[in-house]
Amino acid sequence: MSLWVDKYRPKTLDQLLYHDSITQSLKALSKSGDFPHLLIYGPSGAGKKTRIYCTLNEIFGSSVEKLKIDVKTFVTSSNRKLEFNVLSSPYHLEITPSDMGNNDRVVIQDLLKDIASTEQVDFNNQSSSKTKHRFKIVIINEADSLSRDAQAALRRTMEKYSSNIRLILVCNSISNIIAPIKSRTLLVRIPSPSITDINSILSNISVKEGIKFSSNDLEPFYTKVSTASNRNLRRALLSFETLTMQNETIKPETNLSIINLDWEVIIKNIANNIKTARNVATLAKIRTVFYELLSHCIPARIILKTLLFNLIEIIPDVRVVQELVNLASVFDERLSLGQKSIFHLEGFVAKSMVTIDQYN
Amino acid sequence: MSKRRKYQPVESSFEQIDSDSDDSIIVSKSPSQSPPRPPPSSVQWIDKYAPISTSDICINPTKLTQVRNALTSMINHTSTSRVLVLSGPSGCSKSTTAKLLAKELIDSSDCLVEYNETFDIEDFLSNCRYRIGPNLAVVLIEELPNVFHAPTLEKFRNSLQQWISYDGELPPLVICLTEIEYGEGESWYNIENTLTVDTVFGRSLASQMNIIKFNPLAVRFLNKTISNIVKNEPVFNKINKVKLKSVLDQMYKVGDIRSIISNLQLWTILNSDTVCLRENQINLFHAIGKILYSSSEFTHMNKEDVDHHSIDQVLSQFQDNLPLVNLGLLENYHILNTSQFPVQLAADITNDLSISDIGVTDIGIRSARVNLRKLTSTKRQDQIRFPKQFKMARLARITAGQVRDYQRYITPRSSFNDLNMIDGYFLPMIYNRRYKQRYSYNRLGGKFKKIYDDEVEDERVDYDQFQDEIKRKKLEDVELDSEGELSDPISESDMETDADSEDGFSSDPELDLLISQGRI
Repeated sequence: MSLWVDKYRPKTLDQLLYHDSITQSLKALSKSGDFPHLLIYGPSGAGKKTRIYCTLNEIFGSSVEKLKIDVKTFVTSSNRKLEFNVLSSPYHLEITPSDMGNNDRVVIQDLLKDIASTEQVDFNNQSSSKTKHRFKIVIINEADSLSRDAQAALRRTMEKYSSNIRLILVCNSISNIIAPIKSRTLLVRIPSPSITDINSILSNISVKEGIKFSSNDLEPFYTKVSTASNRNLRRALLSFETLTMQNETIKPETNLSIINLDWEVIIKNIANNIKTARNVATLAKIRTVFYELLSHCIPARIILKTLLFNLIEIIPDVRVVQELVNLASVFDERLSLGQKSIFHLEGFVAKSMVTIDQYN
Repeated sequence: MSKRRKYQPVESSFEQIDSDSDDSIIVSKSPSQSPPRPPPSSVQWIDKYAPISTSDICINPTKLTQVRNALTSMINHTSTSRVLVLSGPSGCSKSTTAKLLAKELIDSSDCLVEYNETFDIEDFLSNCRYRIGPNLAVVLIEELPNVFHAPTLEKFRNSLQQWISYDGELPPLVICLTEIEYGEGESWYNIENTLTVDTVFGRSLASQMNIIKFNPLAVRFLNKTISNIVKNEPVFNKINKVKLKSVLDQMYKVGDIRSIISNLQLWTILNSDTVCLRENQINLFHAIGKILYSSSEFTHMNKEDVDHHSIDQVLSQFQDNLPLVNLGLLENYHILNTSQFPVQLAADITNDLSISDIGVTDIGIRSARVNLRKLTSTKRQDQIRFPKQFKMARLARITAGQVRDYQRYITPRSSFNDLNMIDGYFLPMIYNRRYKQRYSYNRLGGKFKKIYDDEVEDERVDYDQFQDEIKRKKLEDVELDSEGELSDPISESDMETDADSEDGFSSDPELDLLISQGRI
């Protein structure tokens, strides 16, 4: 009994249910047997990785699903040991540069050189000369977190080893990717599935799983789940499974609050606090909450973003919203420039309190 | 002749000027150039003027009475605590007070047992239990065992706990703890960089002890002791009183009697204008206090100058560690005037602190002082607290470790952020329902909980099925590796829990506990 997210994950391009035009392009790509470096981007939970694996499946067959994980160690110039995970199949490997911290440039170069030096021999497809795959796929997750110099080094690697390596860069937004990389890759944007897309997937699953509902008009319920999940399919599926686990029969009045993520609820409370009590004591209280969130590895930029959206939601005044967005972008920049995020988070809260007071 | 010169060069110097031997010229020249040296004395003043009775101790009399009462009540078994801790900075007469009071209160030549670092603390304390009745002695721990070594510290705390909970009569135990703050680097508030009552004994133990805190000595008491030395040492007769006073005033600021006496002796020998004073390091809490309230040292100046000097003092001492001061300010600025001040001020301060964080500048510190000066009242309720940043970082590492392990061993295809922020919340709810009452899953990476600033850790790990599965997977991997096979591909079906083997594993609660605590 695996999770629905995994159980109903499409394995081939034919099983994909939405974004048909993208699926057609990927199919055409995989038919040709060769493809350029790819840069796949889009919000999380849109199905980027699923589509990549489906494409790989199309090209190499199901053995790409046989994953093994290796822990590689890399000794940095300062003699510090660095461990990172490499997920691999016979045809590809997958790395996440955020594991490597500041050494991502050296580590990735080292790894790619290593792969490139061993030529890929394709035993399975020896008969058909047309689909001989003399290259290995390297998937780089969270490519937007690659440091600038790692990206700069990548662009040379892309040309140098293009005969036996194909890169697939995966990221949420391409604003952090340098132009030379964008120009050397085929950009594929995978948008979030629409509410209707998610709804139809949810209803498919509920039929297959035999979920009991008390009413027949399910569309509003699905819509609620999809909207609450911010059109993140992974999240929608997990929330749906949680709901069905918690309730024998799903009724229209079923309590849906459970699908709000714990940390999002915490941030929502911060926003409400800011609205109701704008004083120094609240600031101190909020600081403690920020530390709580940060200690649970919730990225500071996501905290800032979520807080801003929550504030916008509960504050109707357009002028205030304008100011708040302005402030948030200032502090967002400081978050990426600075060292300790707590300064900037508290700075944003204090400044927003002043702003809200001004227009009241 | 040569023999005489060798032993009494100073006295013989005048005769030797006329002498024409090569050898003597060299000897005679040096004393004639430098001012007359004081008579060589092998005795350090620190030993020579060591107090003989409690009335000679350089200490605030009320503090002395407080310690005396505490010790007396321990000897008479009327005290509620069995351990007396004298804590404070170095050179404020802690050990001297303890030793002399022991002599005063117990009429015996063998009135004191001192711990020595080479002893085993456990043996030492259990042997000391019998120093009661006619053998009564004060047990003094002045040298601590190596508390920087975690197991030793643990042992030390355990022996103390045993001592406190021992069922029977015990001699009074006195521990002198010189509080030290190393203040180097940006590490956490723990025993590595601060040696205080809390870090050495831990909260729970400290609450069971009688702790008397010593402060740096006040000028009044220092003056009494020093003037006694000045009166008795003939060398001071030749020294200009005004000059002496200015030197002493400088020295008194340190408040460390040991350092003052040694420095004074050195000064009379060198007779130079400079004084090699012990640098009076202000600790982080003082630094934060100086910025929040402005320094009390400069009250005679006008407001602007006071601020200027307070800031300068902090900046000069914390040059390399301004981010730490900034964090401290952020953690504490709100305690002023019990948080009753305009948000605008807070916004200005935090904004400038935030700018400080981008490039290391002193703007945050200056802004905090300038803005807080606008407050008319500075009364406070709360204490200055250590910034929570380091505790947060440590907890974040633990969480990241747990989530990463889960990713590594259970679901290698999920991304870290998804696991932490989405799956981590839903999975326990799904699994706990699915395997009702059989397993208990916690939120991945631990529950959200408030961070307290103290260093006393409650690292109790709740039993968590996720951790259990990760451990099991790890063990499997190790087994596979040892058999020389390639590690198995992790397919999605591997994620499921094999109910049978699971049961066998969980049936042993002790083993589970060990696994969940990471001992295996």
